[in-house]
Amino acid sequence: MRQLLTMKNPTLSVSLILFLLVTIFCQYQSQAADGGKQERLDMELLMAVYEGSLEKVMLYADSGASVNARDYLGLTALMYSLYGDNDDVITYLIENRASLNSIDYSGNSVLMHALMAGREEFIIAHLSGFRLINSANDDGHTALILAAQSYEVEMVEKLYVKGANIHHVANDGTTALMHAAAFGNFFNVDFLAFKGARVDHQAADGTSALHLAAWYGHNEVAGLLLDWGADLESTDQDENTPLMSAIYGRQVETVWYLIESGASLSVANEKGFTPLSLASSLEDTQITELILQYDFSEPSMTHKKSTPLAYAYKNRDVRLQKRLVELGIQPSGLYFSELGVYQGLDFNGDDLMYHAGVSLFESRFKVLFRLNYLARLRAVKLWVPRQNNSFFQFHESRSLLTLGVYRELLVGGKPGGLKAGLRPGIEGAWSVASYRGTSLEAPAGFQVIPVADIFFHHKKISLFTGYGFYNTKQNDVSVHRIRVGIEYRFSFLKRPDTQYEPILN
Amino acid sequence: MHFAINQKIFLLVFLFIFLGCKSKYEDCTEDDYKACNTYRPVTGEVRIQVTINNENPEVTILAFEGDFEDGNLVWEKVVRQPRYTVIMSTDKKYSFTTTYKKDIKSIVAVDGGKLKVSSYTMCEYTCYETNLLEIDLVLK
Repeated sequence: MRQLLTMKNPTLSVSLILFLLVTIFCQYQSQAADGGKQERLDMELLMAVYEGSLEKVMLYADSGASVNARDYLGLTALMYSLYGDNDDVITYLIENRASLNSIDYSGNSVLMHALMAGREEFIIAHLSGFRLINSANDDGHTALILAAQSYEVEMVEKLYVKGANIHHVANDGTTALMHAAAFGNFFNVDFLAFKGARVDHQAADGTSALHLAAWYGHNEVAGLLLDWGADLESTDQDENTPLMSAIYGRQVETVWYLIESGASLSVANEKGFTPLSLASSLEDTQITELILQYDFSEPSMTHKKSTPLAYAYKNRDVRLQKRLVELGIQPSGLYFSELGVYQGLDFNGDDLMYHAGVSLFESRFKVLFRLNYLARLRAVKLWVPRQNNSFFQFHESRSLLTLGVYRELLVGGKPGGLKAGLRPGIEGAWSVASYRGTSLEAPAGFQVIPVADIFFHHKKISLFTGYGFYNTKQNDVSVHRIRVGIEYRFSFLKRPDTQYEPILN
Repeated sequence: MHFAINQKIFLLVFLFIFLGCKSKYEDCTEDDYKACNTYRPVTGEVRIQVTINNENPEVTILAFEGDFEDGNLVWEKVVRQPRYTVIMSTDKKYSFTTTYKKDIKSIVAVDGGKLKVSSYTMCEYTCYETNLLEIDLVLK
C-alpha cells in the first residue's frame, strides 16, 4: 500500500485514492442498508408480539429478527409478550432463547414486568432463570416491592427464598413492608416482619408503615404492625402521628381503631394541630364526633389559630362549640377568623352607587366589621327648593365612607356546606356631595345608617343583599336603599396541609 | 394553596396594570401623525341639551364663567331645538342655566363643567386633545 501511495505518477496515485474512497463508501452503505433491514425486522417482530400473532413472530424470527429486539424504551419482545394474551408467543420466545434477565431503559427487569403484568405462573415457572432478583428501577423499586404490594404471600416468599433483599430501600425511602402496608396486604406485612423487616422504618419524609396503613384505612394491617411492635406515637417530619394520618385520610374506622389501641389525642403536630383540631379543620364531622366521645385533655395552645374551638366558631358549628366547652375548653378573647374583600351595587329608584370595601369577621361573637366606600356611578338630578314654587335642578355627585358593625343571626346550614343568615347592623357614614355648576352646598356630613343583610356563604364566597336607611333630607330622594354584593374571604386560620400521596398509582 | 391563589391574583393584577399602561401609539412607522395635534388647543366644543315642549317651546340658555351665582355672564342664547353646540375656551370652568315652566312651578336647570385639555406622547411628539363637554339641562 505504501508503495502504491508513494508512486511517482500523480495521476495514478489520485486514481488509486479515489478508488479506495469509493470502495469504503460503498462498503459503508451496504452495512448501513443491512443495519436498517435488521432494525425493520426487529420492529416487525415487536409489532407481531404486540399483536399476539405467533405466526408473524415465527416468520420474522425465521427471517432474521432478534428475539431480544428492543423498542425505544428498551422493552424487549419478551417484555411485550407478557402484557399480551397469547402464551404461545411467550413460550416461543423463551424456547428461542429470549433473555429472562433483560432490563429496560427505566430499569425494570423481565421479572418486574412479569409482576406488573400479573404473570404469576410465568414467574414461578421460570424463577430459577431470573438472576437479577434485586435489581431496582429508576424509582428504586425492586421485584419484591412490587410483589409485596398486591401478590399473595407465596410469591413474596418465593422471591425471598430466591434472595430478594427485604431491607432494600426505594428512592423515596420506602421498603417492601411499607408498600405491603399501604396496599393493605396483611400476610405480606406479616411475612416480611417475621423475616426481620423493620416495622418502624421511616421513609424520607418520616412516614412509617403504620402511617401508611392508617392513611389508607387498613385497620387489620395497623393492628398487625402494632403486634409486631410498631410505635403508635411515631411521628413523621411534620410530627404527625399515625392517628393524624388516619384523620388526614378521613378513615373513620381506623381513627376509632387507633384511639382504642391507645393513640394519644393530646398531641400536636408541627403546625399545632391536634387530632381534634385536625378533624374540625377538615370539617369532618364524623371523625370530630368520634373523637369527642373520648375523655382527653386538649393541649392548650399559645395561639388560637388552629384550635378546635377556633374552627368550630369559624364553621358556625354550634354543636361542636358546646361540646368543646363541656370538655372544659374555654374560649378566650376574640376569634378573628376571616378577612374579606367585597364589591357590589347600592341603589334606590334613581340612584346607582358602586360600593367596595374590606371586612373583618370575628367568629366567636359572630360580628362583622366593614370599611366601605360608595360612590355614585353618575350624578343624579335633584330639585332643590329655591323660593315659592321655584326650584333649582342640580346634578349631584355623592360618595360615602362608612364603618359598619353587623351581627350574624339565625345562621343556618351545615358545617362545611352552604350557610345562610340574617345580618343586621349599623353604619356610621361620612358623606361628601356637590352640585355641578354651583357653589351651593349639598347636604353631607356624618349620619348613622341602619342596615340589614341576608347572606349566603359557601367556602370562601359570600353573596349578600340588604336594605339600608339613608336619609339625605332631600326632596324626592328615596331613603330606602337596596344593595347586592359579592365577597371573598381569606381565612386567618391555619391550613392542615396533607403530605401523603399514593405510593404507586 | 393560599399562596398559589394569591400569586395568581397578583399576576392577574400585574398583567392588567401592565396592559393598561402600554401605550396605544407605539408604531412610529405608520403615517398617522395627522391625528396628533401638537398645538395646545384654546377652544373646545360644548354640547348643550335642553327640553323643548309645549310649555317651553323656546328656552334661553345662559352661560356663566365660574358658578352661575357669581353672575359672570358670558353669553345667552334663545334655542328652539333640544340640542345646541357652541365653541368655548378651554381650561375655564363654566356653568349654564335655563329656566323652565312646569305647571305652576318654575325650574332653573343648572349644569356646569370644564373643557379639559389632555396630552399624550406619540413618537416623541406631544399631542393634545380636548374633551367634549356635555351639558345636561334637560328637565328631570
